[in-house]
Amino acid sequence: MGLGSPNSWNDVGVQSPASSRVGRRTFLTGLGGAALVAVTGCTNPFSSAPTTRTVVSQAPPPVDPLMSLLATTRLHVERINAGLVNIAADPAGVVVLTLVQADRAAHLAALEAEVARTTSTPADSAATSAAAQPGQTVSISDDPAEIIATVLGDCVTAQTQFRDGVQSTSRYRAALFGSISACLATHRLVLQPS
Amino acid sequence: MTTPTADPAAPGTTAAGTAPVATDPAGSAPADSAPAFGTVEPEAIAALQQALAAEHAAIWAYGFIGAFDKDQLDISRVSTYTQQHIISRDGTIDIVTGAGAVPVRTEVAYSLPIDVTDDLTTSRALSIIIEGDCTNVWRFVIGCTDNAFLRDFAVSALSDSAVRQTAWKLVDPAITPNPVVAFPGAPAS
Repeated sequence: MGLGSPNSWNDVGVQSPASSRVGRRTFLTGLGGAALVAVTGCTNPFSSAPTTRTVVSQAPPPVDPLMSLLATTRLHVERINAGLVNIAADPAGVVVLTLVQADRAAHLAALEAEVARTTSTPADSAATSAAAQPGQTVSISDDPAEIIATVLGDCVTAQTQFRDGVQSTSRYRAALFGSISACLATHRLVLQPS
Repeated sequence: MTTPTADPAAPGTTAAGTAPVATDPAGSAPADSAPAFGTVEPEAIAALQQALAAEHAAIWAYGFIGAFDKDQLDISRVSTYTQQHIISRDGTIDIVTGAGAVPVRTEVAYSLPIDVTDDLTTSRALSIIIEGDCTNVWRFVIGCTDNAFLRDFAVSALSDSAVRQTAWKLVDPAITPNPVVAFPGAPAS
């Protein structure tokens, strides 16, 4: 095998490619980039610290206002019943309160029927925890004017609650709540001092 | 209450005793309509058209009632209530138009559900019927939509009509002893 043949040893040193050598400029550039990442707060791939992640949680579903409205209505009916006892000496007040009491009792019956229709929980046991128990006395003034004012205030409160309840419920209940809200608006007209 | 006497084939005309229903195919909006106040369902648009027709009828009827008020005992009330119905009508037209539908038009004249003679009692009784019809259609609108804005608008209109109806009953208790209704707008009320 002669020196000039292709299979002979080559004693000439093989030049390494320039790209495989990490030059000083490349090294400094990389070091500067790592420092920049650390300064700007980006994730350090060499860090073992736990990563803070932002999780966007879903808003809770809207609460069905039916039970709250039922409790409010039951309380107001109890208060009107107590007012009817105390206002017996005022015939005009009795007439007005009787009209309002009949409507509010109808509202209560409709709400209880709706609870019974859509749930297995009896309306009586579901809402009494937040309202007056049947037979429980509700204190109210003996002054006819104060009684009317108290019932009027209850009407204002209930109208607002029923109107708000219209927004976050089913179509059937929305129509029911809207109708009750309108009725309470008429009660305000009847109860307001002339 | 009032029923149109105009051409039954015209848009917004209806059978006797019922609120007008839009019969114009152009009156139904496309399902994907999304106005600024949110999507309005096709069934809600149909209900709004009925409410609009009732408001048209109420405005016409109050003009009719005013003609019988010779001593002008109710002129202020009639004028105020007419303006309130006009506001409700215009708001309804805006919603219907914004939903991409063509609002029903008013009729030239309407037939009355009762004979209005030359006294205030019958005209006041007609007013009570008018407002009762408006409560019916607005309650129906509430039950036809999931749109929060539309529900709020309809509850306001329902409450306003119910209050006006009660006010008329208080003016003349001889017409209806009970001035309040437990469920305004409900079919049984």
